Amino acid sequence: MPDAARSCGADCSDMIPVDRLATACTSTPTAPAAAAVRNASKIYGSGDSEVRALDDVTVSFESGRFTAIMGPSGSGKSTLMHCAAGLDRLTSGTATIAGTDLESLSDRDLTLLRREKVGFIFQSFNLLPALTAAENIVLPVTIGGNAVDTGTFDRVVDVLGIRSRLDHRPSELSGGQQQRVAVARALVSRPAIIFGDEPTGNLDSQTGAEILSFMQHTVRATGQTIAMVTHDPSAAAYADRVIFVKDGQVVDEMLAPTADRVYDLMKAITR
Amino acid sequence: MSTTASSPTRNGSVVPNVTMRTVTVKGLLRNRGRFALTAVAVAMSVAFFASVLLLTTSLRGTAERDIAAANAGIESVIRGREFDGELDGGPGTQTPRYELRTDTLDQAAAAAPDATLVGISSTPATLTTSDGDIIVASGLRTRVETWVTDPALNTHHLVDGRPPQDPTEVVIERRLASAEGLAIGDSLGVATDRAAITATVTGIADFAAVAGSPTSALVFVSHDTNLLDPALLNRIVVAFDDSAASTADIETALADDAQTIVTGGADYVTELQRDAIQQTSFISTFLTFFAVIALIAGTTIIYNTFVISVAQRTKEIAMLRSIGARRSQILRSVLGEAALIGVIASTLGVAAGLVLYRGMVALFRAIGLSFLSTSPTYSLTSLMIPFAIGVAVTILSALMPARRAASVAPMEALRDQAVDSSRESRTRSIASYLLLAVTVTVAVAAFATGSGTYGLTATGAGLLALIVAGPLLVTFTSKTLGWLAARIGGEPGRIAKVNLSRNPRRSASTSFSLSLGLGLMVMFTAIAASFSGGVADDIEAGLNADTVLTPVATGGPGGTTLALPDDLVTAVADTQGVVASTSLDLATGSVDDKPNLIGLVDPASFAELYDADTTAGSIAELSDGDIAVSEAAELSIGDTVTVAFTDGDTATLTVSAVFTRAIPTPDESPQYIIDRATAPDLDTTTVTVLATTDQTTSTNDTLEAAARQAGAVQVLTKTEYVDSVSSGSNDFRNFVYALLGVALLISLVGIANTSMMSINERRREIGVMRAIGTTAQQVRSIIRVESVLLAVHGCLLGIGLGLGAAASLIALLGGNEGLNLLIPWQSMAILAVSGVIAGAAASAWPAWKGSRADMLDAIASE
Repeated sequence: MPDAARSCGADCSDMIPVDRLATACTSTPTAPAAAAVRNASKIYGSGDSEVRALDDVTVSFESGRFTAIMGPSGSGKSTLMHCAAGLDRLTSGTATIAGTDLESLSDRDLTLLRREKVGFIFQSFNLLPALTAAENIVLPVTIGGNAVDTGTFDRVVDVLGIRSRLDHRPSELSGGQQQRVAVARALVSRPAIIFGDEPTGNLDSQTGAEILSFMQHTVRATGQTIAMVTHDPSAAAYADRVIFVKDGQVVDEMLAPTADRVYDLMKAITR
Repeated sequence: MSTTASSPTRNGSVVPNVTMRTVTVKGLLRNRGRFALTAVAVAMSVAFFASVLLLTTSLRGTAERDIAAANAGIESVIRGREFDGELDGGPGTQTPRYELRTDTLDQAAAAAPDATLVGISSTPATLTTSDGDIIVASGLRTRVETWVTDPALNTHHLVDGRPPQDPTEVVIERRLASAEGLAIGDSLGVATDRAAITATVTGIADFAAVAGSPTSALVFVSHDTNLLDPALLNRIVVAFDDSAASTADIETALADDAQTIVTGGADYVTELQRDAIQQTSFISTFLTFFAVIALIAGTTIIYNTFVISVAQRTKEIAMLRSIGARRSQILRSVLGEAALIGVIASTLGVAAGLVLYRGMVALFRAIGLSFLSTSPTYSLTSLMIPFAIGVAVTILSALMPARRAASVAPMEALRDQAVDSSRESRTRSIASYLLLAVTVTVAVAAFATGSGTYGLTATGAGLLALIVAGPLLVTFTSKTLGWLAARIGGEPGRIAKVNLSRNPRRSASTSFSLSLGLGLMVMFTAIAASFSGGVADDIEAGLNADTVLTPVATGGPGGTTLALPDDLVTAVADTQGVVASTSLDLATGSVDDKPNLIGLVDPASFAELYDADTTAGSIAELSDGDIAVSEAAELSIGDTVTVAFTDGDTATLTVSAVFTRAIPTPDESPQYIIDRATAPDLDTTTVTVLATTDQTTSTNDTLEAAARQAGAVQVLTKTEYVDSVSSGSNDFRNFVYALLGVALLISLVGIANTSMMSINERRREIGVMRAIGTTAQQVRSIIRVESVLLAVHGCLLGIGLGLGAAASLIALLGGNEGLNLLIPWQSMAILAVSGVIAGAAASAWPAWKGSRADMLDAIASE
């Protein structure tokens, strides 16, 4: 992977502590895309049972921004995220992460790319039950045989307030604590982009709000790129930008969203 | 109650009638993959059991039916009387009898005028093809016998050709003909200790209904043969025909002869049947033992499967409970599932058993254990019993998991995805530590004292500990071996290590059957190695000769001791280049009324070529009236013993030497050695010729030629001979391996099964790992390392227990024979490596399946 392809956010956070980052990166007006899909189509089945989950979609997730993907059930928003994150392959079109074309990669190379460039936060946390919180956090780094940057680890753990929980198994943690661990896991490898799949869907509203503000803060402070699928307008309001998906197509887009505006637009779309 | 009965409502739509049985059957069908391996394991166990039962019934059936049919025309039999007591030795060892001579035939004939009396001679023989290759005859003992012309008295009947009419003609058994591709008109080399001839096959014969006699492969010769001693008979068979005489008359006529015994036809048949069954009962017991081991292996798999499947379905069960299913219904549902699997798998198993039975018969033939030539007896019982056992075992194994399922509270439906975090109970932990402590303490005591009893106690405690403390041991292995795996395998190794101990109880019961099977293998191997290894060490140390002539073994375990012809002994002695030579003869007799093997030697020359390591006296100075005894006989210099020989002579001999080393024979080593001059007229068997030569090629060639002339004789160097002795019980070992292999195979299916079910359970987890950057290759590694760790764990415990058992048994049984435990490192290493490879092999499918887990499916929000 050429270094130039790495996102600004990732580069900066290499050397500069969290708090002093605010102006350094996010002010870049036309940030390069951390991930993008162009003319993306995804078709399941064939003939009569053919389902067009994505229909010629072009979206880019710019570096250092927090993007929310919204849409009604079955709109294709999850498929969009899966394909953009390299979890699934497009039927046609291209998907890139940090400048690398995903379609040309073998399964192995795609996995290595995910390992280095992508972080995930899932709705049901999906921590490995046999590993402790600390082990879960470092897994994406250690699985590649790399050493964990202890500075990054300490910073992430302290900011998320999970230091006292590091030796606990997931079953001994509350939902909020588990999701914090999952967020730490996504951050610790300093990926080019983090994808979230309804990250607050299984949390109570207060815990959810804490997680979302942390994500928002991370983007603003460190220039981390985040793309998040959600159906909750108040969650989407934490993002810098909201993309609306319906019937496999991007139908609208909103910058500097508020919960009310997102709600109204959603209502308009689903009508 | 019906599974699919439905009733239409008034407006025509169909309301399905869903009973608990519907839930069970549909659940089973949906999860058939989950139960496939379990069914395979049950089927394998049942198949093995069924084939063993078929085999034993058939053996018994053949013994009874065919022996009665073959001997139907024989009304009276005269044989040499048996020595009292039993001769030590393996299965099939025959109690020695006094010799029977032709003058007895004359005496009996006089007592029964008009009756037909036929004297039959019989002796071991080696057969060679026209190319000079030795015929092994499926491991049967090959013998030459007189052809009986009277069909009523002949146990065999011709199926083709004609009887032998002159000394160069032979009739052979049909199975010998078909196995070796021999036909009428072919030539066949036949060698006994009296002569070696090239004969022509003139006929082919069958024994009763089957194609061969019970224990030997026979070659029949005419009365005027020079292969047999005309004066020496094996038995005299009598048909009274129109004679007024009876068995009682012959008995009266021979009453003065204490060395013969007369038996009525019916009693004779009963006796033969009893002997045959006794011979097969050894193998029946043995096989049943292994069938039970296989069944235990199968049981642990069924148990595991149900434990896992119940754990995986906790939510589903709780849901059923919350909508009103009673505990008893859940219990019945799980047991019903087990019953259904049991019935299907046992049916398959019985069918596979029929096939396996055929294979086993072939296997026995191949390795020389055809005690009986079997024609199959398919009895309903021998098929119903394994079926019933298969079903019963499946249901019983599922009982505990089923009770656990029934105890699931409706509340569990609301809980989060179940992670088995069940802690071991306090009682179990305490019992585990206690048992381990007892095992270690007693084992240390056993080492310190060398006591076999302590050793066996430690082994027993260890076996119990394996069951009770299994989870604890798995955790320990995960920490130690797992650490190693993590060091070598990196992150995948570390994750595998963690996974191994996340469900210690499951891992423990999975590896248990592997430990059991492997432990038994190790035990048998170590014991066999200690026996033959001890003898080999003795011979290596004691043998001063550079060349050994010994019969090629053509029998199986406990097999043939063929005699070396007298001509050969002379030929070796006369060969130019042979500096010194001596021969060892064996005879059976009784020593102080106990049947025993007795070695006969020329003391001076024997002692020169073989140093038996005397602790007192000297074999070289043995003379007529003396006897040398093995240390194991527990006699001292100056003691006297009374020896009775098969020719009726008795002698009182004085112990003049005590030796410690085993005597070089192809089979059992004699504990008594006498000067050949003590019994000059005795019919003995020459088993070994030792020679010191100038070691030139020409000398060796001459010896080889003499050996070839004599039939199945091999000329070995000292090293070759010692090697052949130490591998002596390989046939038996291979047989045991083949049987235990079945048990091991079932254990490996168990590992694959547990692995497969764990993968299903962890599908989501694997999907997440794949998503965050674990390659498919790494997922496969993790699963493989887990399996291998489990296999190594099972192997190590098995090897430990097996060695413990072997050492204890040797200390207990072999103590007075001066046996020491010899650990066959090479075999151990092979077993251990096979265990690892097998563990990896067992994980092949689960690993592949796991690495293909669909990421999207796995991480999808519920």
